[in-house]
Amino acid sequence: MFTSNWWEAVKLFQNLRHNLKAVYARTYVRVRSQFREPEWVLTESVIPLLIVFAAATLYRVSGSEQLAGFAVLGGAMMAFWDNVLWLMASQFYWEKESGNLDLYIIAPVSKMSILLGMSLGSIINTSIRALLIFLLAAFVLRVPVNIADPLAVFLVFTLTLTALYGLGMLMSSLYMLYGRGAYQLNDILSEPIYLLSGLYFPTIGRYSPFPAIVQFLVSLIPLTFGIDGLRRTIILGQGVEQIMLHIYVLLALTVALIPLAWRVLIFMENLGRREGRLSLRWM
Amino acid sequence: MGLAAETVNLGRVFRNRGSVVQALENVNLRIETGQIYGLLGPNGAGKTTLVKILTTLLLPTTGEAYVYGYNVAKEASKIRPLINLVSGADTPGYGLITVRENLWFYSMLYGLDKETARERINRLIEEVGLKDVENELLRNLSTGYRQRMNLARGLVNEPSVLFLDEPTIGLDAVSARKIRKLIKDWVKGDSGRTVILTSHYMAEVEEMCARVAVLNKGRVVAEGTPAELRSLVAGKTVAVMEVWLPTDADRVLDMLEAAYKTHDPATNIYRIRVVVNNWDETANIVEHITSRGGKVLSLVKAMPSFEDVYVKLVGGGEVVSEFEA
Ligand SMILES: Nc1ncnc2c1ncn2[C@@H]1O[C@H](COP(=O)(O)OP(=O)(O)O)[C@@H](O)[C@H]1O
Ligand SMILES: [Mg+2]
Repeated sequence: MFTSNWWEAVKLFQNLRHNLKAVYARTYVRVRSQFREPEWVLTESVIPLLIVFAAATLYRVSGSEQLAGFAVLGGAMMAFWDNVLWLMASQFYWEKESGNLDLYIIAPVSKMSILLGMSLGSIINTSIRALLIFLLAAFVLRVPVNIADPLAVFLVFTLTLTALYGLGMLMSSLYMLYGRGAYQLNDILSEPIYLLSGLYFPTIGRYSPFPAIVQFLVSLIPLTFGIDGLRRTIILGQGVEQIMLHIYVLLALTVALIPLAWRVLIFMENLGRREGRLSLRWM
Repeated sequence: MGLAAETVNLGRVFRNRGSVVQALENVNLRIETGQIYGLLGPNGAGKTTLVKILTTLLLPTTGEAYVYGYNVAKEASKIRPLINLVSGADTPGYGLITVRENLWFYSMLYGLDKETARERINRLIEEVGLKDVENELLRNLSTGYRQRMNLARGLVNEPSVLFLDEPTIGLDAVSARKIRKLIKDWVKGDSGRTVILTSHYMAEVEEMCARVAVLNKGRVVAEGTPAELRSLVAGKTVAVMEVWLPTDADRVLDMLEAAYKTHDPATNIYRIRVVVNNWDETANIVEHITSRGGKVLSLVKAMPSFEDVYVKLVGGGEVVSEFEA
């Protein structure tokens, strides 16, 4: 009994190490690729920056100094949202086109590790862009930063990313299953989601112009509570106690989305093996 | 010698929007270890489908398939560490990282430790001839080099069974020859290694494979060593003719089960090969062609080749071969 348990434990550990290697390798590929073409970081930061400048200036002219600061944070987070919506979601599509997807499937490693690696790589790449947007905008617009509790900032930021990329991982499989339809939906929904999630102005809490029911619905978008939490901790100087709700919501989204992404990924792999195609519908 | 792969009454059906394609039907194969095994057949014969089933990418709809005794449907996780796949139609890898980095990336999917990965990749870069380009970005590589890198990628886990799906497709003659030699050398390197290779080039299969299964329309129409298959036309003769046919009369050739390689659409002249049991039959063939308004421009007797076997097995039509007869 003892030896068999011990053996199980060793195997589990080896398996975990093997999967962590795959996560690391996939992360490396993504980060390395970006640094081979660093000019992308700049070009892809231009549009969010312009939007931030426009929005912040507008708020400032209308006399709201804090809202200007909110817009800057929104702009930085827009980089993550764009990345999830466009890059993460269509990733498997490109992997399939090149033949990588088949190679991932036949590799003796969890497909979830590949997806995690893609996400981690994306997070690292996009963080650089988001930081650039934030620093530039905050500097040029002289946004008053007021961080009272760095731990709170760290918690909110990390949980926002885990929830956001949980959604990204889910979308990458849904994208394969629904093909072009998903792409069009993405296109149609991206602007409303910018607005509803609070990239431009707060959509939950006391500054929100929306009724409670809309506020509840928009809070299901991981970005919404994330941005609000970051505003509170970075601009309004709030601490962990004041953002407990944010932490709970983001944690709940993370815990729901990542296992769901895992399930859908397994579903996709099985569908491919059974039907010989990855899409549920014929376009 | 054990079995690297086995199929038992294997079948696969694809259903899309009402259309039903029987891609494989009642396939029974026993592929022993330590050899290059060929799956030969024209486009659409079911070669890729069979490879996908054996590599756990696709489930059978009927029957069973095994790799090293493991059932592809139920024990995929036992099979996956033992195999790898190189498909000539695909160009996997990431363009913005180097050849070496790409190989390292794929080695990590197999959980290799740092030292083993480094040594193995060094060796593969040498053996496969990627030394000049190891630090090039993948996107800057020519097709020939890309395919070599793809082959090295397929060897990175030292698979027991390497599946090659049309590995030389689209390559120039020199690159194709290199790839064939690499594959042959790899199999010779260790008695436990097996290659299962698909191709629609008969000369490639004849040159490389110890045994061959010929697939046509999802069925195995012949199986054996290339010599055994050649004996199917032993004692027969081949009539090589140049014929002129009226436009839209190529059905005449289908009826003859004739193979043609060259067809000049400007002049409507075909160069065809027909296998005959004895030379007297050629009179009937000439009669058949002239009665449908065609003309026989020349007629020469030839020895049957491996290609003629193939044509006999899969029927007439255009024949693709990189080796001109
Ligand atoms: N995923 C699929 N969905 C529908 N039909 C398919 C699919 N894959 C292959 N087929 C059909 O199955 C047959 C065999 O295809 P394939 O195995 O690719 O042949 P080969 O590799 O010998 O050219 C063809 O008629 C092809 O159109
Ligand atoms: Mg094929």
